[in-house]
Amino acid sequence: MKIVIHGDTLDVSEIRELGTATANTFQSQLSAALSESVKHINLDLSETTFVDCGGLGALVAIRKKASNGRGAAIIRLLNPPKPLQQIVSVMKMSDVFPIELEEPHTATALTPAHN
Amino acid sequence: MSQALLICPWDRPAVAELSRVASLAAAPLLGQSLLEYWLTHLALTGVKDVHILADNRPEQISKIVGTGARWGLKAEISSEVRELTAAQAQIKYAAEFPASAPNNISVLDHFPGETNCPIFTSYADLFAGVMRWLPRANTVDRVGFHEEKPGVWIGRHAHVSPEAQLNGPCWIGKHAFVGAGCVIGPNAILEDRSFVEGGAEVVNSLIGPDTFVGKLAALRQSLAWGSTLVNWKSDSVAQITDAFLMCALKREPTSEKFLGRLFELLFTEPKPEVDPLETINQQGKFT
Repeated sequence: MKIVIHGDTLDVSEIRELGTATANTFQSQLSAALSESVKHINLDLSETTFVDCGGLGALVAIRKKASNGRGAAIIRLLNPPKPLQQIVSVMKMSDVFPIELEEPHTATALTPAHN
Repeated sequence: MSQALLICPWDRPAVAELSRVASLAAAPLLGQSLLEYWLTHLALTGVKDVHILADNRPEQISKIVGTGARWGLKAEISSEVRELTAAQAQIKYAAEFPASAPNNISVLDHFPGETNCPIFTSYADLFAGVMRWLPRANTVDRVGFHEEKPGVWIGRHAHVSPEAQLNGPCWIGKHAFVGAGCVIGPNAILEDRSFVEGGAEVVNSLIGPDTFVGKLAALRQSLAWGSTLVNWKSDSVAQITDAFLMCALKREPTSEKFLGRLFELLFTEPKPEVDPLETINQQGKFT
């Protein structure tokens, strides 16, 4: 897992699994990186292949910790795979954890070569 | 027309998750299999003899059809090594279904009378087809379903809380359970013995038989079958690992292999241990 801080934003990427087995590590690493100045947490879930209730619980715990006494920090889920989007939707968590999907890059048109 | 040939569809990749749980012709849709709807339809149109070309799971087909006596039909089931098209079947069974005579050969990939609306081409088509069939699903030979209010069908022995919100069109199968505070419908199907815990929402979705949906769940545009969740709009499939959210209530029957192995362990004589090196030496390869 990779954690980078840019001002008031915490970018978390390379999350392979978000399950009960890895929830504690995930939670402790993020908690350590959290500071009072953090207002936005971006979780890049594009590489995530497994999520269960333990992982979702860790997300809720992080949200609670990040907003403890200093207003709600916004946690965004970036590019989660479709099954994960389904699970977030089924759990009615999409309001709390907004999902943001990156638009696919449009191929630049090739310009004809001029001789 | 007194005879008909029905071709059961083999597995369709577009609805792979449904194919995985049951033969497509035998999978329960609104409490009955597609095959049963077809046999009812044929019986009502005066057909007497039905020849069924089973798919790769003929035992499921024969379990449903039996001799056909339930419909007043004489049914015969044949197995094929692959799925035949209607034209191929007509050539193969030309003696029974001559091309010159009026005949009735159908592939069971749509509901009776909806030839142009195949349901196994995608999950979206499957859901749309089932919803379209819902008002006609309570065929004359079925008992135990009643229309509670316009568009809301409830099967016998279903437990529906008076505090549940039922929005038609919706179908609640036999022995289904709907808890207090549930929102069911519009466009919801709960198959037989499904269990929707209080507070859950099922909208534009189908819950398979013997499936538990927990109180935290909100299913929209989904097909839920055991622990498999399919979004019929995006075709994405998720396996739910948390049983409190969604799971299968009916466990797989105890495997005969397990009993066979137990029997083998208990009652067969242990084989004498053979040293592989000794065997090799006897063959003279390493001497």
